[in-house]
Amino acid sequence: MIKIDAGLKAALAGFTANYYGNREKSLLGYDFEFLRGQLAEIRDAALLKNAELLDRFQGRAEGHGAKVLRAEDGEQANQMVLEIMREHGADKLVKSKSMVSEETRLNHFLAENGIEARETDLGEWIVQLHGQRPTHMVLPAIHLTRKDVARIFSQKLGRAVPEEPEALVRIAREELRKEIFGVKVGLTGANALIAENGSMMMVTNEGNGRLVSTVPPVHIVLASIEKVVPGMSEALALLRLLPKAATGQLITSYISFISGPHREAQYIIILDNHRSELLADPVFKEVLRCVKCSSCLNYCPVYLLLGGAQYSHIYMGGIGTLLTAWIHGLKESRDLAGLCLGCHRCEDVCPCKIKIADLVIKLRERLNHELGRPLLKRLVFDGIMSGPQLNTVFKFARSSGPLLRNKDAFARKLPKPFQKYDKFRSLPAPATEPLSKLFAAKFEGAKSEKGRVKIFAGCLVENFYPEIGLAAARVLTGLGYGVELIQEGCCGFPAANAGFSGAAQKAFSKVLEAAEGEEKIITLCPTCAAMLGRKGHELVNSERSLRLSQRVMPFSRFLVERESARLQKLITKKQPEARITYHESCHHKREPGACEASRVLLKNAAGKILEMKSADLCCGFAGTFSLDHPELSEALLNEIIDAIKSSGADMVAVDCPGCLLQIRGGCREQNEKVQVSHLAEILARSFNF
Amino acid sequence: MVSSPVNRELVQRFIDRAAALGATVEKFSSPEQAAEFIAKLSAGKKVIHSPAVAAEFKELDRADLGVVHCDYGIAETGTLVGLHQNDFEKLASILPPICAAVVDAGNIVANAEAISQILNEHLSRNSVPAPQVSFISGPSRTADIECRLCIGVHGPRSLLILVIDKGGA
Repeated sequence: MIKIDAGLKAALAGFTANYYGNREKSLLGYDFEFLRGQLAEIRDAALLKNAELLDRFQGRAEGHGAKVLRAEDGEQANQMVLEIMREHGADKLVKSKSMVSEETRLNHFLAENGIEARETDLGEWIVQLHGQRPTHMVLPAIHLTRKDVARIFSQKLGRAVPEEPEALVRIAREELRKEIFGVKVGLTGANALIAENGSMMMVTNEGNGRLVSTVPPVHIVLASIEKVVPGMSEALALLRLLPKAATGQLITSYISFISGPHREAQYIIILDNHRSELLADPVFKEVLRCVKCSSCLNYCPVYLLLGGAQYSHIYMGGIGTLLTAWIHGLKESRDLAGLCLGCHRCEDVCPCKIKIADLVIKLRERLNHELGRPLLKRLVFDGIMSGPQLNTVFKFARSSGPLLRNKDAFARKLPKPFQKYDKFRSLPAPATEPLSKLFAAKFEGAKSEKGRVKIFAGCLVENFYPEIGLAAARVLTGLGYGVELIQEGCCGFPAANAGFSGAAQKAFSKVLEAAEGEEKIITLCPTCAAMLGRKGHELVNSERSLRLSQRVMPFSRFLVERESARLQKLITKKQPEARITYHESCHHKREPGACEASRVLLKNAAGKILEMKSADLCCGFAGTFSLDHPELSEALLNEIIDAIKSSGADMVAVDCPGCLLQIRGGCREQNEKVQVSHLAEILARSFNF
Repeated sequence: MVSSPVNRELVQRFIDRAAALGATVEKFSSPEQAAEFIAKLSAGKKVIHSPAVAAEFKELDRADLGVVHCDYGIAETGTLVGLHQNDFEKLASILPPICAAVVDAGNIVANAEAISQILNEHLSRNSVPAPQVSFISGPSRTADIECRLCIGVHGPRSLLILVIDKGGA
């Protein structure tokens, strides 16, 4: 059972409050898009020649006198470390941070064999003394307060210690020096293995990596196969982005390059652990571009609620889910795959341009295929949403109207076993008439001096919020466009998102048929826009789907691109009374220029926007996510409502009916008087036709 | 190693960036002046110079001040670059609580890429002990306790950079 730890959540929020600013500052004057495009290419080229580069690295490193060992799996790597320890008569190992050693559970293995492994990275050391696992890849002890650390230290030392971080750091310095001196073997990870000169590169801030690799006479490097790069210039390109992405630093305090043994011996253990299989996978291989900077975690709304102890097997968050599926087995990744919102925030910040969220969705497909599909979702996606049954369900819901409906268009509360779904947000009741029924009477035969467009309203607008569809049509006809409604049930996105591509294809194919024609297709829901504009084509990959994708345009972008000159003139009923803020819907944000267009229109209508904090944070609706994880959905919704309140606005504009459902329902539950409106409604109210 | 003509703009950028990372930077117009400065700084302290005599590591650990020569400075990031010949050079920069690093202004380059070839040649040498390269940018730091930045966790609490600029002020 997943539970949000309020203390950890606050600690992570405290961290990101500084991190976001530092990261932005460190990237000032750099073209992040260019640099990450370059790094992605460099990583891909290195991965393509991985086997060859490993051989070259091995040759060069052996030339320096290093012993290079290849480990098939974690067990073998652990065994190699043990044998090295025995050969050098050592019973204690000092370590600097190595994610790979977490992956192989090296410390545990060595302890079972009578060897003590001592972490020397401050955070790792604290966590180790406390008998825990790291919560964050870069900040392992972020879940602990100074009080916790003081308590852990005084237990270890048998005396009282002060609680100030500076004093604790001084104590750690003294104690860790004692740990490192006199030990025969030190183990480090590596950020890169450089093929052209046989040296390893290690990036640290504390300097423990330098001590661990130099003070003990024997140095073990434990690294996974994807760390190999062709040469110095590739290693330096990595160095250009890694610190900025990881901690918002231009550079870290220490970067060490080491070519071979400095005194007695250097062993380089190169671990595969199913990475070769991942490398051979045409869809997923880009996962191995990852340089473990953890940017994706620092921007992941779910990770920021849960931290790494819950959102990990060993590797954390979305990227961790993907690594887990190969390294620790598909089955271990199943629950983790369900934690991704699909908000794609991680993809905007990844320095290697890994399409993390897209790949997690593809992983769901594979999970369904290999491990079987959950019955309930099979019923929903295969049974109802992809067929005509969907309309029947809504028809039935409408006919039982009075039973379901409160006075204010919200539904009555669900029966007890389902309370978790609507206790934090009131759900809407189905509209008395669907959009398709209302639309024809009002807009059929409207004059079309500027040409005709088709509206794809989506199932939420069709069945719950027809007023949004009518508002959009009013704006479009007011501008002189003839409008027509594409009458089709579900675009197929929810099924695709849950890894039910069969059901998604079925639904999407029907949309393809219904949307035939040449006119532009205006979408009122960014999720439908994503499906019609991109994902559907990826699924079906036909000429027809390509043509469709080129016709799709989000409502806001259509207006700004076609009508920007007339917009200002049309608005006479400005709404000075409405203080508007704007929430960026996840899929809207992914359409180039869409959020910008929405902001232009809102400024036209309301004069200005009172920007809220984290306008791009997912509201927690995220399709079936809010049903799978209502407690997380609620926590995200609360953050959004708090941000709206602090903005001082009394109206929030959204582009997505899903966000509208979630935020409007949450505001009602919390008795917040904030009005939640779709952009089309706001424009229809302020346009003077 | 032959120094190139000094690019004052790069030197200033190096100094600004290094200072922003928490290093203290002093400029000297001759090595003698720098030596004098270090002599004053060393008064009453246990000092390890690099390249050091083959002292015990433990002795380095007890030193108060480590003096190291650095081969290059990188202006973009305020980074010192040491092409080490032995462990002592590396440890003199990390073990004592104060590190004084000397760098020639003529060896301050725009970015790491500018010395990529030189680094590669150094690291490619098959020498014993192994060739090593260190990039040092500011003092040792951690934010592992409550994300509070603390200096000097494993390495020096204070990094002093002595830039020798023979033509400069």
